[in-house]
Amino acid sequence: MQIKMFKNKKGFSEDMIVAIFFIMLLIPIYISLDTSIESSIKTPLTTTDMESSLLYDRLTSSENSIFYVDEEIGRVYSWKIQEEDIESRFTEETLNRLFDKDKNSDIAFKLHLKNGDIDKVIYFKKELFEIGEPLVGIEGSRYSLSINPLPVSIVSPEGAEKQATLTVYRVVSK
Amino acid sequence: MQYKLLLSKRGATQKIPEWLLIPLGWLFIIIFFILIPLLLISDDIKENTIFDRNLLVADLATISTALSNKPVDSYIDYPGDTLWFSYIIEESKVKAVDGSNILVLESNHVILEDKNLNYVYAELNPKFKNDIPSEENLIQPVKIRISKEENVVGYENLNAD
Repeated sequence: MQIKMFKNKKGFSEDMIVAIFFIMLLIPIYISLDTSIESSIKTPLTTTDMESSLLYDRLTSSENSIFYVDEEIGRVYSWKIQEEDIESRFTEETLNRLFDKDKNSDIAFKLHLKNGDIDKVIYFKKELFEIGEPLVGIEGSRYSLSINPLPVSIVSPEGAEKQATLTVYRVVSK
Repeated sequence: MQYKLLLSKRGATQKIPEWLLIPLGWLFIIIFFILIPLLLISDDIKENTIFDRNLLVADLATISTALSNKPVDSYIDYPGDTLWFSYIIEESKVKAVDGSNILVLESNHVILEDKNLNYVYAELNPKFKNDIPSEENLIQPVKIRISKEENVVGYENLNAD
C-alpha cells in the first residue's frame, strides 16, 4: 500500500493528485444533492409577524390583560387602567401569564405607561428586548421593532380620570 | 493493492490509494442509496404531505392563539380541508399525523397559550374504511371546532361519532 501524503522530491505524489481530483469531483455533487433535498423538503412558512400582531391584540382585548374589565358584563376597556391596578395588574407577571413566557421565544414587549405622576416600564422577555432593540435597522439584523402609542385614562378610586400614554414596543426576532 | 485508473498521459496507470477507498466507498453508498432516493421522493413529500401538514399545523396553531384572545365565548369551525391527517393537540403544540407513512410533523408553529385559561387537549382522528389510514381509504376527514367557553379552550372533531 502506498500512502504518500506529503510532497516528494518532485512535488505532490501521483496518489495525492488522484485523491484531490476525486475529492474535488465529489464535494460539489454531495453539496448540491444535500442542498437540493433540504430546499425541496423544507418549505419556509413564517408566522412570527402574525403571532406578534395576535399578542398585541391579546394585550388590548383580553380580559386577563392589564386593562380595566367590567366584571358584570365582561367588557374590556382597553383605554382604561385602574390606578389601584398599576401595582397589582400592570406587572411583568401579568404579561408572563398572558403571553406564556415559557413557550414564546421570538417576541418581546416593553410597555411604558406615562403621565405627570406615573412613569412605569414593564417588560415581557426583557433579555430578548434588550438584545434585539439596539440591532433593529442594522443591515442583516433579524430583529424588527413596532411602536404603538395608545392614549389611555388612569382612573382613580374616586372615578377621576387622568390622561396618560401607554407606549407598546414590540421586538420580533425572525 | 493497486487500483488502476486511466488518467495518465504517459499511458501508465495511476493508483488509487487505499486510504481513499474507504471514505470514497461510504460517499458512494450515501449518494446512491440515501441521497438520490431521497431526492427522487422529495417532490412527492413536498407536494403531498410536508407542506400541507406544515400549513395546517400553522393555521390551527394561529387560530387557537387568536381564539384565546377573545373576551367572550366563541368558537371557530376550521373551514379548510384537513385531508386524511390526524391531529394531536398538546400543550402549546399541534401535531399532524399521516398514519399511512407514520410521519409526525412537529412544527415550530406553537399555540401561544394564555396561561390564565385552561386548555383541554385532544386527539382528533378521521374515519377510514379499514385499519389502513390513507387518502384512498378516507371516509370522513376531521372537522375541527376550536371553542372558548368561560375560561376553557377545547378542540372537537365534529365528524366523530
